[in-house]
Amino acid sequence: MSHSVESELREPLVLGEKTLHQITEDACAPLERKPNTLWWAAFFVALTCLGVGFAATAYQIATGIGTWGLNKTVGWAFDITNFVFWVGIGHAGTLISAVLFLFRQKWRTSINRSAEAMTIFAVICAAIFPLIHMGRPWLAFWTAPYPNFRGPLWVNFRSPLLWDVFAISTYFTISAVFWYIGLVPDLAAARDRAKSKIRKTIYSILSLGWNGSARVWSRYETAYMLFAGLATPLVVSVHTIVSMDFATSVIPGWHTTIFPPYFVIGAIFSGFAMVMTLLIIMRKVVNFEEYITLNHLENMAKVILVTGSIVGLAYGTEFFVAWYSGSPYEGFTFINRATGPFAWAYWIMVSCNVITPQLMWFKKLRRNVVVLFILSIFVNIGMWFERFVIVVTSLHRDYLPSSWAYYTPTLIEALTFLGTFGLFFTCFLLFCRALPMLAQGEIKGVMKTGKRKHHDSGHGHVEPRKAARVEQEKEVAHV
Amino acid sequence: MSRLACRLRILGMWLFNRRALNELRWKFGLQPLHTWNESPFKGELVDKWLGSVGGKSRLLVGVFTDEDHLLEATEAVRKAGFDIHDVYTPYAVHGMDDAMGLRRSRLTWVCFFAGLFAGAFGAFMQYYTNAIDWPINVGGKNPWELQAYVPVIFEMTVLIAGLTTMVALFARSKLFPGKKAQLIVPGITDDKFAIALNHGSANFDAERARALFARFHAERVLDLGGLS
Repeated sequence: MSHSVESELREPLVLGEKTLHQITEDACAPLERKPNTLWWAAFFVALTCLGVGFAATAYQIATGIGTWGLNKTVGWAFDITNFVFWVGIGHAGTLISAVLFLFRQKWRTSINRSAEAMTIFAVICAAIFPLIHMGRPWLAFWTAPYPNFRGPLWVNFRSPLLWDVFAISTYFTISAVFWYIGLVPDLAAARDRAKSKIRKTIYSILSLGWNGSARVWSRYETAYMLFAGLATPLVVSVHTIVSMDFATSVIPGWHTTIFPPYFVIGAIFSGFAMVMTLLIIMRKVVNFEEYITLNHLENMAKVILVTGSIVGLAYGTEFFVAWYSGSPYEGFTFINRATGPFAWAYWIMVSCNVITPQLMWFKKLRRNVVVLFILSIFVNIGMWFERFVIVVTSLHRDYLPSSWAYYTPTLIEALTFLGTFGLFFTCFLLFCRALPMLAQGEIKGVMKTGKRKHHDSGHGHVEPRKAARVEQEKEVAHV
Repeated sequence: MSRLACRLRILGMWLFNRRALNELRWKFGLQPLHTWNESPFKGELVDKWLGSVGGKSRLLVGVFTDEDHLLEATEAVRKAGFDIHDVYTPYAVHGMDDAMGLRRSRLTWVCFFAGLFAGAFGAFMQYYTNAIDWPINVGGKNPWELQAYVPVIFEMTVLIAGLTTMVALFARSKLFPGKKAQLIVPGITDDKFAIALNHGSANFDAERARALFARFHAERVLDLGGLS
């Protein structure tokens, strides 16, 4: 038989010479044990933030968005910044699950499930902001093109804001479906191990009667490939469309053709940073260090380095084009970004996004968990400021100096942002407890347990692995 | 196979092929029917039938613990002319489609045509609403300029193609919430691999199948379903 033989020289994807059964055990362990104090502490903090955010949201919806720090000049600020920030965070999940799948990057298998979960929660957080920004969120359904009694008055399909509605809702739906399809075999594994009746029932319903049939696996693999193929252009389209919210306007600093690729790369950059932040904590807390190895972190660091450098290039290009175009408005906007009242934000952005990721050229630093963690936080901050700089600094110096203004967020805005972090982490912590965090079905597939021994020894016989559950097997019932 | 489908099939046999029905009953250790007034809806046979795995009467199952052995054994039993009911694995085993001789899934076509339809629908929806039913004058531009409508056409394509593919996958594989999983052996979602052969095929030779399984280091061989 012709198999792909893994090189002995290549570092294994999963450390510790795991058997298939051990992988199942390890992947299901967080679901089956009681949460530890650290989990409860984190959950409590997340829930508190969520509660605060909920109160702030309720207040501003009841009072109106006059509770924000916006003024006549700066009409978009914190809310849109947060929206773009969260959508961007989501992109890494799809990139890991779809793009790396198409490129046959086997290391994705250890991290794809949690990255996809992160995508879904981040998109939920993102969607909250435009909803609030509508002012009357209970009329949000008006963005759907349904036959109505107002004419029928249809939505304007030429508006990038409406494209956003379609892009974000499609992105959420497809990501959720992709995630769920990936989960089904693992839910089945959790179901077959479940001891209590309630767990068994819930996992049974969710796993749809999966029984590991190879005929189903064959279709499943095809469908998975199709989803990866659909999600890849989708993820590019989503942030392209988000960037068009700005790029199709005529505001200097927004009206640039570089925006779509610049936003997409920035999204991947920030998303990988968030994945890294989460996984560095998770692998420690849930004891997944043998699955999410230094190799995985190093690979992610390389992606951060590449995307960070591209983002740096984009900053440079923007400046160059502002000068080269000869447009005084463009030129002023960019000089003002670097030296004006929001220069502090600009330089935080540059130092976090362009300078610190360059440290990743050094292998020693790429394999240092503490450095990576600090770096990932820096990138998260830097990318938030990137969006802030783009949104606010392009607006605050209007064409008439008399309308020049400064923008300061109010407490309500800050608390809403905090609330979305609460929502994000609450969802993520619950996910850690309720669903298999490791895509064990995929990890087992890239393990090639018997293969190595099989191929380098000529006699072709492999000692059967020590069956840990001989007793159980003896009780196989004849149907 | 659902209970209703079993009943209908038995009804069909009862009406038109009494001999096959009696053979089936015999296989399950039930008395052959002699009189016309025995109802085919009694469910006795239905229960037995459904109780056997996958609605098939009997299966000879080889259980393996290694992917390579499983692949080789699958290839060998197929070449030996056995009727493979199914192979069960805890993960998608690379090369299993070829070993089992499965044809390529047609889900790609479902996805393609769903996408095609969705794209056309997306274009039509926008054309009708924004250019026909209520054209809005935006800066004096034509109501229908394709470029502005591309993003939504694309999103509609991806959304509907994706959802259709999901529905098609679950429908074709008969996976649905509330379905009771029929595991061929315990541990099939963990670390066990199994090949199930149909007893029913004409040239089935249990001894030969057992020998083949043993040659490829089957951990155990089970005879499932029916009464032996």
